[in-house]
Amino acid sequence: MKKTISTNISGMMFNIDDDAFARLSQYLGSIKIHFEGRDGQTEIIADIESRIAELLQSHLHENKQVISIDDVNEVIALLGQPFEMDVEDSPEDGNHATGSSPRKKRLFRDPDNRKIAGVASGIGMFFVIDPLWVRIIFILLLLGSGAGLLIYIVLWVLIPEARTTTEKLEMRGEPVNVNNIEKSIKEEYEKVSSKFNEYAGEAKDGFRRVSRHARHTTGRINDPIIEVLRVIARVFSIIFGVIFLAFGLLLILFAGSIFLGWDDFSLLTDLELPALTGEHLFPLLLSGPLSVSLAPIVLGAFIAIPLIMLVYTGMRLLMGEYFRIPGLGNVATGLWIASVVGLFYIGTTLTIDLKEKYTTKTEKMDFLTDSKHVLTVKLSEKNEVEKIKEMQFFDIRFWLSDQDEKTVSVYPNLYIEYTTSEFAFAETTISAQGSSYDKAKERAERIHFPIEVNQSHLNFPAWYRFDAKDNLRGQKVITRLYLPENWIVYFDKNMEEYFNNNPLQSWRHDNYASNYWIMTKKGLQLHKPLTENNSEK
Amino acid sequence: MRKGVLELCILAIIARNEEVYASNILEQLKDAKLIVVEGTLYPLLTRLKNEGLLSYRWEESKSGPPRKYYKTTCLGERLLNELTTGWQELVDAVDKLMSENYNQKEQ
Repeated sequence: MKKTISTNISGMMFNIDDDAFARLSQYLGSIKIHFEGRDGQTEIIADIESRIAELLQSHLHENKQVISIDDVNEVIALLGQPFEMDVEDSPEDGNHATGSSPRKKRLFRDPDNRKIAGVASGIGMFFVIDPLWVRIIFILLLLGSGAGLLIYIVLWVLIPEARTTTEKLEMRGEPVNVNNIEKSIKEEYEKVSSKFNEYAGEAKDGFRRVSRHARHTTGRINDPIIEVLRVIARVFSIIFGVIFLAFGLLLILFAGSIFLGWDDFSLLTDLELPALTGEHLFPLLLSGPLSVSLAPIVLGAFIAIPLIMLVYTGMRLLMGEYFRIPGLGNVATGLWIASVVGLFYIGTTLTIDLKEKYTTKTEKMDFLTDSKHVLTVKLSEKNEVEKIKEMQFFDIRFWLSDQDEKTVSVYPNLYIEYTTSEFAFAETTISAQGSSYDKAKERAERIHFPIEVNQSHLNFPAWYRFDAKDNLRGQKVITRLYLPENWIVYFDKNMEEYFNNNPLQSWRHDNYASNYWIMTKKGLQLHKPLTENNSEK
Repeated sequence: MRKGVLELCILAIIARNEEVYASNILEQLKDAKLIVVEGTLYPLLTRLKNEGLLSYRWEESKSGPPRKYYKTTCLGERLLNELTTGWQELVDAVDKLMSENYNQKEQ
């Protein structure tokens, strides 16, 4: 069984085997090139084609409807190779028969080795360098400033494509002579035959039984409406392709800046997220070593795959079949589903670990003083913890220290509230979560928060701490300082950092520290320093 | 040396028949073993036509593509006569020379 193609030679329809077709078009191509530029070239070629049609016609009869490669070879032997046709010919023939007219090398786009439009390959041909280097330069320019894309498009428009064999030879800088033309046509033959294998499905039926004298044009793809629709579809696919490509690349840059810490694009200055997530955040956040080792891979795949596919789809829309990677869609879908399953597993283990919540009984601490004295709030600890990593995770800012073990240190919350009782007091609640009530309670009890009330002093720990092995499981410390009306509180200077850096927005008061504040019914208000106030007056 | 001979033969074939198309010319040329490949004919026909020595008309064919039927023009006829004369002179001269050569060898 063989594939046949229907073709029109000199106005006659022929069914022709695809290998025979390839041979014939190769032959006609070499004739065309041979006679190119000569007086009456089109006429000569038309005459020869007409003779071919006549000879082929004579090979067909009732029981033989299809032209075979043997028929074609016979016809070619009869007509002769192009250079044989010249033996007796005109004075100018020396040019063509021996014809090595060394022509200048010219810059063309190379349609045979193209990735997009053949610009890089053409430039590579011109300068005799591997087109890969040209492509790398384009990509670097693209990533650097986006200029690569612009330059490419301009070159695409300016440089003509090498269409004929002569142009292709000129592009390669080979002399245009019969040998080279034959050589390059043979190369092309391989391509043509493989292309026909690909698209032969189209010509499968329908063209098998064409009557001998059918001269009407085949209505295959010439329908103008279909042509117009095709052009419109192409325009849309280019528009969407560009959009997909642009969005995909932008998002990859964005994701890359966050997850891989590409400094120039990074939105998170100072915080090296990849190191944090891998070394610190994942072990702290996730339950069990499996989750911890899975998390970077699974999360990476979950985010990267759709972005890659977005870019790929964009490229496909722009370039059609040339950019097809077989099976990529299926592999990507499979991997992405696997990543979703992985995330689901990680999420489930995490949820189980957060199931129960335990909150300690609120501990009440009274100040042993009265309204005539000023209360002082100061941090009870200096920053003696060596920070190795500082991280912010939602509203928790914390440090990992490695004094003996990994310890997590978190800012506690401090609220100052109004009370109707006679004396000031402070209350602290500590809470944590766990897979069971007991586990939550154990966690809460392991939180280190040595708050102290000493007559009129509140010694407020700068951080509450717990072992990193405990994971981040809703550990929270809230201290509320209750003041009756007209009580005055002084925040020590060493609280400045606490107020300035507190991730809770409501607590970012630049002037809380080193100032006196008085409780009123409306809340805490700035109270003029007693001593300074007096001296000024 | 054979330059121009093929043109002469083609003109002669066309002039002899009322009207001929390429296949007839090819048949006769091949019978006379004057050409090896058919492709040789077409550039020559085109050149002769462009020089105004030949003219042709189209005719539909029942069994193939439309055919070009060639005939010689007045100019063509005139050139043919000149060439024929010239050719005859050449043949005579060569014949004579060859036979003298032959005679000398015999002696």
